[in-house]
Amino acid sequence: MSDADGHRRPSLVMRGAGILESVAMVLMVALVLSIFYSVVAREVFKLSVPWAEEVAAGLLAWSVMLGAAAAWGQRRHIVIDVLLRRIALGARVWISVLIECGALLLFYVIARGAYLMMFASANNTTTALGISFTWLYLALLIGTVAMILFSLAYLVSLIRNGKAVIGQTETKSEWTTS
Amino acid sequence: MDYLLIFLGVMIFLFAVGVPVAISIGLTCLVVLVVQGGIEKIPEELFAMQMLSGMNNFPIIAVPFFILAASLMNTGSSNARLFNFATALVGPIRGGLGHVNVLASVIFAGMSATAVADVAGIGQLELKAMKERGYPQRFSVGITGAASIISPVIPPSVALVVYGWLSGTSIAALFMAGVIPGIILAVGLSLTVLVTSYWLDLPGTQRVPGGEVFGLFLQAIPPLMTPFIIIGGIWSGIFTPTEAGAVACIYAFLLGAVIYRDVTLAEFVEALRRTVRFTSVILFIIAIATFYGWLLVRVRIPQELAMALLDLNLGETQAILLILLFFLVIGCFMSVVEAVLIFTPIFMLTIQSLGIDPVWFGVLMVMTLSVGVITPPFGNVLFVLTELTGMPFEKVVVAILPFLVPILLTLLLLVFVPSLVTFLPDVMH
Repeated sequence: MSDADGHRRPSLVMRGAGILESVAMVLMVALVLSIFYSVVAREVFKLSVPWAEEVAAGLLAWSVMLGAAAAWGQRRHIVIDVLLRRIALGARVWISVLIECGALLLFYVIARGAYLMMFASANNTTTALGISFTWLYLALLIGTVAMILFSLAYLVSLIRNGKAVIGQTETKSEWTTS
Repeated sequence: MDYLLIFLGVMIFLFAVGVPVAISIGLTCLVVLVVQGGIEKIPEELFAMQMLSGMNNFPIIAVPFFILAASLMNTGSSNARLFNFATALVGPIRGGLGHVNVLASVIFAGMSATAVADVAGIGQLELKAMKERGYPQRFSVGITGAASIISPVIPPSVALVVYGWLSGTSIAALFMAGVIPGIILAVGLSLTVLVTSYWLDLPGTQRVPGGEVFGLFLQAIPPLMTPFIIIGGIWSGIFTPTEAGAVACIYAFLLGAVIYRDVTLAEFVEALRRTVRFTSVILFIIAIATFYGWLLVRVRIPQELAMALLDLNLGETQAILLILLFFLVIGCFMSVVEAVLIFTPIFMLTIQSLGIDPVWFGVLMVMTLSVGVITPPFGNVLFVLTELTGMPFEKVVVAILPFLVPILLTLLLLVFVPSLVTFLPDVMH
C-alpha cells in the first residue's frame, strides 16, 4: 500500500487498520438500527425503548475509537499539510518522527487515563441497562493502544526507510469537515 | 490572557508544521497543563473522562447519521432526479442552469450536512450539465462553489450539531434557525446569476411542457421527501434531530436499494466506509476538544475574554460584527467544524454576557466560517472544484469572487435583522 507520493506503508498496519475499520462499520449499522428501532417502537407500537439511547451512545464511542485508530493507521486524520509538503524530504522525515513522538505521548496519557478510569468506574453503571462504565473506557483504551502500535510501526518504518508518509490531508481528503 | 496566547500560539504552530488537528489540540492541552502545574499534574483520568463524555452522548450521534444519509443519496440516482426536476422548474429563467444549480443545492442541503458533500455530489452533475450547454467554465465553477455553502446553513448541518452540543443550545432550534438564512442566501445567489446572465448572455433552457414538469416532479418526490422527513419530523416534535438522522439513513437506503434498485451492496459498503472514516476522525477531534473546552474554563480564558470585550463597551451589533470579522479570517485557515470546536468554548461566555441569542450567534458563526470553504488558502471546496474541473486553483478563486458579494450581504442582513434567524425557532417553541 502506497500513498500519493509512492511511499510504502507498513502492510501489517494497513491490515490491522482494515480490521478495525470493518468492525467500526458493523457498529455503525447497529447504531442506525438501534435508533430507528426506538423510533418505530415509540411511534408505531407505542412502546418505550429506554435502552436505545444508552446502547447507541456506547456503540458510537466504540465505533469512533476503532474508526479513529484505523484512520491513524491509514494516515487519514485531518492535517493542514500545505507547509509540510513544501519541506525537503530529509527534513520532512524528522518532522514526521517528531509528530509521531508527540502523538505517542498524547496517546499514552489517554490510554493511561482510560486504564485508570476502567477500575475507578467499575461500579458506575448506566441507568437503563446497568452496564459498567468499564466497557466504555475499554473502547478508549483499545483505540489508543492500537494508535500507539501503529505509531511505533510508522516510527520504525521512518527510521529504516527514511521516507515520510503524509496521508489524508486537508487538501486531498474525500470527505472534509466543511 | 497569557494562557490564551499559549493555547493559540502552540496550536497554530502545531497546525503549521503538519501535526494532525486532533493531536495538535491534545498536545496543546498537555503543554498548558505542564506550564500550569508541571508534568506530574497532568490529570490523565480527567482527560479520559472528558473524552468519553464527548463521544458517549446522544445529540452528537446525529453527525454520522446525516453523513451516511447524504452519502447514500450521492450514490444512487436520487441526485439526477432532483437535478432534472430543478432544471424543468427554473431552467427556462434567464441564466437557466445557474438557477438550477442554486435550487438543486437548496434541495440537496435538506439532506446533506456539509459543503464538500454538495460539490462532490450534486455539484458534479451541475458542472457537467453546464459544460454540455456551453456555459463559461468560470461562471459554472463560481456558482457551484458558492451554492455549496447553503449546505452547512440549511438543516441538517454537522457544524450546527457540534455548535449545539458544545454551547448547550437546542439543536432542533438551530436547525429551524438555518432555514430562512439558507433561503435568503439562495435568493441572493440567484439574483447574482440573473445579473451575470445578462452580462455573459446566458439563455435559459428550453421551456418544458407542464405535463412533463409534473412527471419529473413525480420522479423526484421520493428524494424530495428526505428534507421533509428531517425538517418536518423535528418541527412537529416527532423526532429529535438524532432520530431524524437515523430515519433519513434508513429512508435513503430503502430508496436506493429497494425502490430504485440503483445502489449495489458494494456501493452501500463504500458509503458506509466513507461515513466511518469521516465521522471517526471528526468525533475523535470532538472528544479531545471536550477536554480542551474544560481546560479553557479551568484557566479562565472565556471569563477573561468576556471581561475584555465588555470593557470595550460595544453594543450587541458592534460586538457581533467584530467577532464575525474574526471568524471570516479564521475561516480562511481552518475548516468549519474544527473552528466551531475551538472557538465555541472560547466565545460562549462572552455571548451570554453580552445578552446575545446563542441560536442567532450559532447560525451567524457557522455561516461566516463557511465562507472559508470557498476562499484561499485552505478552502476545501476550492480544492474539490480544482480536482473536478482541472481548472487552476487561482482561477477557481477568481471565479467565485463575484458570488462572495451576495453571501456577505446576506450575512450583514442577518446581523441587522436577527428575527430572520430567530423567527422559526420562536414559532416552533
